[in-house]
Amino acid sequence: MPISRRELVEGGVAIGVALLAGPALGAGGTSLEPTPENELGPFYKKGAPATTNLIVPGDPGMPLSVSGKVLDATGKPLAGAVIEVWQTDGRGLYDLEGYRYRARLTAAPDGSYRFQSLMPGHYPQRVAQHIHYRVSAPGRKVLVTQLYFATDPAFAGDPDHNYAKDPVLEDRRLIRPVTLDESGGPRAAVVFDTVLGT
Amino acid sequence: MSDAGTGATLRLEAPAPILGVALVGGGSRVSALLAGMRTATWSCTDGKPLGEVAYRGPPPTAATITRAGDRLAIAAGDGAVRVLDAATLETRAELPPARSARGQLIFSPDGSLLAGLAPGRHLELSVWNVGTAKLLGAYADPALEPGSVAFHPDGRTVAISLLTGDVLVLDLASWRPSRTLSDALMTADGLAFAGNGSALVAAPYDGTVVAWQLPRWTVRRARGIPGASALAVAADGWQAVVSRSSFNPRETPAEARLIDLSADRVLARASLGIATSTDVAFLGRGHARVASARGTTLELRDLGG
Repeated sequence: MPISRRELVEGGVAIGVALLAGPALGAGGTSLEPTPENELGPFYKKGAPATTNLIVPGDPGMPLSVSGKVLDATGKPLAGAVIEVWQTDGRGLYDLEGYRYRARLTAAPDGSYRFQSLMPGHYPQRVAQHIHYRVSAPGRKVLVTQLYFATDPAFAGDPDHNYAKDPVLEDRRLIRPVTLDESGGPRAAVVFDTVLGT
Repeated sequence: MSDAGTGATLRLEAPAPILGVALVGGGSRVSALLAGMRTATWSCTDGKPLGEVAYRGPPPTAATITRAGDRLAIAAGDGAVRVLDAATLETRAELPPARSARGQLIFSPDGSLLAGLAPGRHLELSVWNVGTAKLLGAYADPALEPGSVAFHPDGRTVAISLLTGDVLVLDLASWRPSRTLSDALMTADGLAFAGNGSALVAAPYDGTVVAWQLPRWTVRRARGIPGASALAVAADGWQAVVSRSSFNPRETPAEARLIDLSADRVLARASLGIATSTDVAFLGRGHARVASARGTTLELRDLGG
């Protein structure tokens, strides 16, 4: 499906380099702050499928690639950590009966994970686009949080000042930069590293 | 979806936009919370207005009404909780303040107990005896995010639906969890014990209805409505009526279904049009009532019967 430049912008993706720097991840031994928590919300569903491709063919929306690492507070990768993600489709709707736009991922030996999806739409009862995360690893505190997008029109280009427009978004650090990869068609890309506490 | 087993619709007009509806008095009356903090009540039999009162007090953060419809509980931002006469809004009891009253309030079926949930994402529950105006106890677990609460009719147990889909069963004598039920896949706004205490029923968002038969907590599943927001259970625990308001997306027609839990069979169903609030009540076995509201219009329908 061809996507116009206007659709790119309206879809919450700015062309260019990252707008914001990611969190500084120290080498092993460095003390890292746990990723801020954010509410689970009512749409979590047990039993999501183990898949790295959430895209439903034919669904409208900007393709989105999300990658990152799961680390402990010393910067050590948490291999085998379980990352559950769920989001709305591009129109802002959650699938309640099935498992569309829901997945259960497992962190690789280096703590990395990656999945392909669509940029979530704006759920009517929320201000900002977001992807829910529930990350668990043996011996670590379960992390419940949400990933937000710096290019979300709700932030009007200034997430530093406008993030509080979404009352659920309590911590600016959960807003991540968005880049555009135009190789092989337009695709938004986001890196979201998570740090689990004990 | 075609309606089946549905009676005629009784349509009422409220004097102000309706924020929420509640069927009370065994489904014989319907009360509405109106914009401007007013409440209005009508007879479900003939639609006759039974009263309208305006609330004067600090801005509420949570409110609820007893099943009998005779008492309201209102929490204010400072944690103060007042129990009011629903007809006059005169204060009947002032309960000791608790942070956990500010998020959500729930009366026990007989109105003798009141539970309060704290706002935010950490489970913090308080329970008061309404008659003595004393705090009976509290339970907190910062690792759990609560959804809704249901009292067992004996008043000694509460069930708390969690946002993970689990249901925590809390013994109010010891203030310790007696079990965690992990059979539901999603959280449930609709959570209720049968009137005779023989079953706990949940209507999770995934469109199932999950029933646990006591005392062994044997699980049984039936098909419900995705995104269900209201639930009532027959006195014997073998039938349930569920409804959902319009959301996800907002253009989705609201709906209600009367369900036989023993046979996983829909006994009656009704499409309610666009509705921002719904509630359900059992009138008797095989006979339920549903209230739905949009703007200033309130509609009542019977299912089965």
